[in-house]
Amino acid sequence: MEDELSFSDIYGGRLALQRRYYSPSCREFCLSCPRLSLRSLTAVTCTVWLAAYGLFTLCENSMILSAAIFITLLGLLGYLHFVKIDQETLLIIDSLGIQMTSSYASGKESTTFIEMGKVKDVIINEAIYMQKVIYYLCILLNDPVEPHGISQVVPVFQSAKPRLDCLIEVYRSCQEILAHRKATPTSS
Amino acid sequence: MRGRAAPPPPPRRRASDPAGPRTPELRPDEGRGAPAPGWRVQSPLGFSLGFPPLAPLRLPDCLKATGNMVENSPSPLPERAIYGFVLFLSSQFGFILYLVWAFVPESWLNALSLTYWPQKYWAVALPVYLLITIVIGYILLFGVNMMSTSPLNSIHTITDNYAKNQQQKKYQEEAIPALRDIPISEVNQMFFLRAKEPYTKN
Repeated sequence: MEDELSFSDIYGGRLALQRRYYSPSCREFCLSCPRLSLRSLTAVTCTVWLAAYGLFTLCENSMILSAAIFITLLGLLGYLHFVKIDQETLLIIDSLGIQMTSSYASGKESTTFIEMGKVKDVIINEAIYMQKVIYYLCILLNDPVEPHGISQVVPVFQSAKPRLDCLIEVYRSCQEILAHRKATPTSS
Repeated sequence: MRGRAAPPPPPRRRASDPAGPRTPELRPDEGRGAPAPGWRVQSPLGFSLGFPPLAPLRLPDCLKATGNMVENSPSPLPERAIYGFVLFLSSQFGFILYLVWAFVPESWLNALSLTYWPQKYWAVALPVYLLITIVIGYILLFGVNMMSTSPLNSIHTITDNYAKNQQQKKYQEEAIPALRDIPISEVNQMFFLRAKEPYTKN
């Protein structure tokens, strides 16, 4: 079962959340970030080339212009490969664990998996980020030493940064699955 | 011997009263700088001018109970008036001295046998240094604030040493429950799993 909802991120851009219910104990949430807009790409390219042309009129060295072209191309490729995330996915399987996947605009994918024994809870936390206070979803990990302690906080959907209404949807679904885990305690 | 009897103080509450301290209602003639017997003049600063000694200040009961509060109150006192006046005189003197140093030519000062002055260069340089320091201070304060904000994956956004080591206080009947740090999982369940409408209207 699959459905798609439309939300917005903290800056006002449009996000699309796809929810897939594979089974009562396995769900996936796919958040697609806004694409690289043509307007911002044109603006950055124009500023870099205008600055290079200004330097060229000062120095009369045509290497500056070709260097500016190379810089723009390499910068764009590096941005698409290392910075720009197209889609973020959260897959939660009841007895196995939680997997987070980020797929970049150049096709690269990076995956993180946390096994269920380490997961304490999935919560919505508020914190100061730049000059705002934002809500964000995070996974709390168990502390091996202390039974009720928290050893680490892992935020999810870091580059999509959805708003609270989207987070509440994901939070409720995750809590339904985690409630199964508490209902049937593991024998370890 | 005062010409007028002091009004009776309001009845004190026991320290174990669970409803909390009652704010004392000040009667119209109570509080600091209360009017003294007839031959003293009441000044707007709150202390009475006239024949010494100055009248002892009459305090409401809440300030008598904890002596510390008297020393920290911001109201005008005779000592503070004296400090203020000394500061005013010395700052005026310092300013006139600075103007004399900066504007009067060296030869005139030497004729008065005032020879050991710093270079006049500093009369311009020091204010410039001071202003640049203030501007950098604004930027630095902003930067220090941003650097000391915890990142999003820090444990300090969720709990801290006080919350980890807090002890449960015994529950008393009909008393306000003691202040306690509630774990974030419970807070989330209360906010987001039970009531949905207030949060989806944004």
